[in-house]
Amino acid sequence: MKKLKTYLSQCLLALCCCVLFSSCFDLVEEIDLKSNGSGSIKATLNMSKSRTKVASLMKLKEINGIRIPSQSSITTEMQTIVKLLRATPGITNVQQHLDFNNYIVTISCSFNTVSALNSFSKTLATHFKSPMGNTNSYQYDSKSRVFTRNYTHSAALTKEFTRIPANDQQMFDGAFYTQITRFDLPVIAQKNKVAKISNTGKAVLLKVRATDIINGKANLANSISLKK
Amino acid sequence: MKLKYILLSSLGFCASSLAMGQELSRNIPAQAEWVTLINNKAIVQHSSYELLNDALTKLGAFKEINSMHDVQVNNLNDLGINFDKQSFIYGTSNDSLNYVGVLLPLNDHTKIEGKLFSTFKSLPDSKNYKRRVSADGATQVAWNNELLFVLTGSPSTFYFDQEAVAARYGIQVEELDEAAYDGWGEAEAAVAVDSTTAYSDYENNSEDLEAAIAAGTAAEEDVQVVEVVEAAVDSTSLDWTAHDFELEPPTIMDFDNTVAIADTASIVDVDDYYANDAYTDSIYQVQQARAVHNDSIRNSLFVQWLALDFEAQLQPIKNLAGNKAFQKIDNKNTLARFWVKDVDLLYQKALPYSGAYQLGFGIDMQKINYGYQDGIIDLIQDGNTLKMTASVGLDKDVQKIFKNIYQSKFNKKMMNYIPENHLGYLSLNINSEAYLKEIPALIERYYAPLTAEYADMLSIASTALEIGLDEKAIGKVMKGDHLLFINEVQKVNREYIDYVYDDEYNYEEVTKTKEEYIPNFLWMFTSEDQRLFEKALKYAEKHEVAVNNNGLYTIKENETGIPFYVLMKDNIVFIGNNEDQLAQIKNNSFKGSKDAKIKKAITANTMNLVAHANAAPDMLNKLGIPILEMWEDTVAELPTYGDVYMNASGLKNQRISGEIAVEFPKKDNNALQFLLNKFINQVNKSTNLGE
Repeated sequence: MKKLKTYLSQCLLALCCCVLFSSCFDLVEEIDLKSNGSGSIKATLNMSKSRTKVASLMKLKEINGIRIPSQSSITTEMQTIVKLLRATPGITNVQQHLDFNNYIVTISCSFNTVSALNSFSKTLATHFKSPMGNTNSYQYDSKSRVFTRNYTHSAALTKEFTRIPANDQQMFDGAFYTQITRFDLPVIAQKNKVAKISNTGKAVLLKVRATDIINGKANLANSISLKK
Repeated sequence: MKLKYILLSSLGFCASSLAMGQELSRNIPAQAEWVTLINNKAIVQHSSYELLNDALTKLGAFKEINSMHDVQVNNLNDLGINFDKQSFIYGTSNDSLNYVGVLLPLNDHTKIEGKLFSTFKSLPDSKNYKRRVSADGATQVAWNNELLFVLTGSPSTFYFDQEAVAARYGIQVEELDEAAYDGWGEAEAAVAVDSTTAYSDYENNSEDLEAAIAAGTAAEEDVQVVEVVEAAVDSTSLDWTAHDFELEPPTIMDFDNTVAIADTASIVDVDDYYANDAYTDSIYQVQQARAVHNDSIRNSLFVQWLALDFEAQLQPIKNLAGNKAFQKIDNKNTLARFWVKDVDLLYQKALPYSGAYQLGFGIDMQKINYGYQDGIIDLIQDGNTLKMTASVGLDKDVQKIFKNIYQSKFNKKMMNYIPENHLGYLSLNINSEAYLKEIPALIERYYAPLTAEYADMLSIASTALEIGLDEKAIGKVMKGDHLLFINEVQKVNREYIDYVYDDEYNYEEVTKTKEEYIPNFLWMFTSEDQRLFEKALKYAEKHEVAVNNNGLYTIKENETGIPFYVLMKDNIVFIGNNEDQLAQIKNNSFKGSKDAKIKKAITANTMNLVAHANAAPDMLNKLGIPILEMWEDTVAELPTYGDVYMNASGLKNQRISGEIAVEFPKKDNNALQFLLNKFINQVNKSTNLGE
């Protein structure tokens, strides 16, 4: 899960230089958590709504000082991420998919414990020299059945964003981050004001604008209590 | 250093009358291979002294001159240049060296004496010319009351790479240093010994620099000394002919007896060099040492030859004053002219030494003979339009080939289908049948001379091609006249993938559509025999790739997600991605443009490429194309621009010609003023940002 956050930062800061200039994109993070603390995570970056623009951007090497990654460099970067994931204790079943027709990137894996995700996140953050690894982490107490996401806004992210010209910043207006957390036990309560519990009571959805995350207006922290 | 002098010389972009210009062209040697004429008067008249001074100040040109010469030059008038005359920059060369000469008209030679070339060494006057030479001897200048002449250049590396020449002058070629690859130690010792031996006397002589300069000057007037020089160097001919290297060559030890000025700048102690070099690879070090050694020899020889040739360059016996290229010039609007004596020769010289090609592939690049003769490029200001026109003379054989290829009348029916609103267009008009017929002649002319032993095979192959092709039949399928228009952008529905969630927030991928703008195009060409296209379309229809709607074929969506349409009507094939436009053509309801300017350009030229710049910002915005920061101001200003175009007008008066032009905004009096003001504003903006 922390991997996802790192992955998010990666997407924003490296792989998704294209995203910086595409009008709309969606980043969806899904966590399926079992009551014993194991589970799976899947992250999807969907830029299909802006695929014409992304396709034209990919033909450039750099725009306004921001490097535009090539198809091959994105593939290589993805392979690096997969390699790091597979080498992380407690992480298994790593899968990835790159769709360069619709510009959709997917990566998923299983984890034995939530702490495995956190250690993976640290590894990845260190590899990519991203500050995001220190601002996001997960905890799960199997006794109290409380799943917690700790989140602190990264000032570095805002700083990076302010370096982008104002016109280009507006392009982020149509971009969203969605987190879906599913459980095998019913949710009793959750503390994030923006998040919603599903009708079945076994999932929590949080959807926020990417700009709100970047500017620190959105709080991703949450504490979800499950039925014992 | 040389570049600085050329930069300085280019400050002579100042002006003159035709008659006055011819006076200076008498100082251009007849063997000049290229000449740049700078029409100072036109440049000043179309801008102003103030604007030019301001631009040059922003460019840092005066600052550069002041630092180079320890003087105070604050504006163009301080240079003593006569802005009513033309300036010239020319190039000459032979197999061993290249010269660049600069001729600047003067109206106050005292400003040269007092301010410029103060760091140069004085030489004795020669035929009313005052003379100076740079410290390294590689640049010499002379001036009288009317002109300033600067001569500089460089030795030809390719020449010295030849084995016999290298052996003659002590140039170390790579093959001679094979020992280096077997063991660094031996090679290092060899290089060190060679270098120190060769230059020990050289360094001693550097103290007697002035004496050497004096000796060099005297050499041009003193027959006795010239004889010494003749024995020492390749050529002493003062009427500037190729150097005769069959004469006894000098040894490096002879340098103190020649007119050479020691190239102190290039003397490097090899041992010190190694000590300071962090790079420890032995082969690299051998190569570097060899480069230093060879450069020193080459430069020293160049200094000698330049000293010998200077007089012949300054007052050439045969000159270019009678050349039509410098007589027939629109003195009012032509800002500059670049003339090349022989374009084929320029090609040959631009290519690397062709030994490797000849050895490896049997291709002798020096035998290039495309039939291109002299070439002229003009920079012309026509009001707010700045044009660059180019023309190349052709020999008779190539003229005949091009005449046939360009002999084609544009199908005037296509003029009815010029879209009223378009962003730009491309037109092409050649004779396909003639082109195919001329392919064998082109191959034999262009490639056979290069391929030596394979020339006969190439000739057979080209003849086989001629027999195999039915040029007339192919010419009927596609006559050779084409028109391609980029229309305005149009809205289309594009699919994308989105997500919907169920009660457990499981999501499912769904396909949605959104509106996007794409540029649409219309391509048309004449086809008197459309059977091939008809059969191909029927085949596509049979395989459900195309749909026939009463003669208007829809080619289904491809990877781009955009269908395109094909229509055949009145011996014209139409292809486009705007269905309405094709349907209007089919139903005779298409409203074509009445713009006579476009029609005239299409029929008059063999090729046109035109972009209506003022429509570009809106198109870029609709297409969502990001603008590079450095281009933001220019793009914002594009609505005030006119057309940007390129055209080729085919064969006229034994020449092929074409032009590139930009119609600049009319907010300034003319294009030159606009560009200078834009440059000044840009520098001011950068300076303010820096602060």
